[in-house]
Amino acid sequence: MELTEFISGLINEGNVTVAADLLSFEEADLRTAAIHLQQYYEDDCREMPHTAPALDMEAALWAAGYLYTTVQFILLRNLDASLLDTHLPAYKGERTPAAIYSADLTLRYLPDLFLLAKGLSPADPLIARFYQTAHQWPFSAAAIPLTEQVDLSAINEHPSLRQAYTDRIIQARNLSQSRLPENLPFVQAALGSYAAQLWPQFDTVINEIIL
Amino acid sequence: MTESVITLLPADIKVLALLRTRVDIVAARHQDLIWVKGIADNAFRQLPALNTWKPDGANRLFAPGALTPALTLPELAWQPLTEFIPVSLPASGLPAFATARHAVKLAPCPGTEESFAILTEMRTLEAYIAAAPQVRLRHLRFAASASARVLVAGVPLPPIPGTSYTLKDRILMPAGYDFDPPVIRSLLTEKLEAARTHFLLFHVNGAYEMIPDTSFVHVTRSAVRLTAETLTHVL
Repeated sequence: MELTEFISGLINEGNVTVAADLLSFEEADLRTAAIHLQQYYEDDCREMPHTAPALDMEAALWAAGYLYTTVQFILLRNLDASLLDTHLPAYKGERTPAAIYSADLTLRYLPDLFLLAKGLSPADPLIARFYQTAHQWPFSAAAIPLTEQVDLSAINEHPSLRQAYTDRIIQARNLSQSRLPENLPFVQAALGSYAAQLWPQFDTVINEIIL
Repeated sequence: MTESVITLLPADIKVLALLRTRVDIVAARHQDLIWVKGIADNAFRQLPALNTWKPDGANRLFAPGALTPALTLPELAWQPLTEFIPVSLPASGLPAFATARHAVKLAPCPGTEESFAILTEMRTLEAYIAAAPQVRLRHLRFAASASARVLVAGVPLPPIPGTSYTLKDRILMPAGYDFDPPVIRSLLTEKLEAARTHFLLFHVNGAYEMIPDTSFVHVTRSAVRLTAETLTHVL
């Protein structure tokens, strides 16, 4: 029940435990983990703007396993970089709004892990993998400053994801993301005439752009 | 100077009272008149007497200059003037206890204070938080009533329909109104013990509600939605 305990610890206590070796999750573990994710989804939906996308369990389980293994790669420094491709496989399904939100149930912790890993070893191949994942799942990586263009089409097509993504950019005070043309109007609309009060740095940046 | 007996009208007791400290004068009431006996000095003679007599040793009364008595002095219960005219304390000049209650009234005022809270319906708030940016919610708190009315507090207030209120001294007043007279505000906060742990929400008609501090929770989408779920029977 490695994955189940990992998810339970993550959701309920904010602490996680991982195995000392890379492993594959048992079927029973995946079934119980799915029950936890289902419950977590139902609770989390209440905090989402508008109506949250439906649950895509395949994406949710993939993301939970991905996060589990990522933590292992951060903690187990003896693991070889060549194992990354094998044990951190990319998501094979379509990144629909449902898949994005379902994966986000656990991938939302990715920015915190990114900062942790970067602090431990900036040159770690895992950091490059983090950026790659962040570009593929921008909804979960709103707090990570990204230099390359990201595909926001799936986010933009769903009002709940679009609003939540804007919320996260503002919450993280991510100026680089807020200035992108596809995000700027939403951030401006969210702050309204209170930008100077709610996010003074953004207000300064906008004034510079306008002037 | 000889002793005299005079009679006075009852209304002239105030004049007699001027001689109240004289120990040689006695008085008595008889047949609706005041009878006074004493040494006829100048002060005594200035009393507004109806009749004046000189008594002899046998209690016969002689009019001035008369050789024969006019009548016999009746048996009277003579009293010293200090007893005949007792003193009493004057009516107190201190204010009495207020027995009439003053109804609290509100009146329009010209103030332009920023609104701090808005009273609206749960459905209205629920619809707002569904679409509102989180940054516009996190500074807000709300308290809901069993009738699905909800008071949202925090600046800036959400742009939703409702009655807005200003806040001062833990009193929430309809925007554009103040007490009539305004001094009632300080009296209320002094008198109402509950004002330390409650917000007092006044309505325009002067009625008020007490809202405990502990009734307010942060506005989050989940908190509002969960509260709305508990009020489905009135929504």
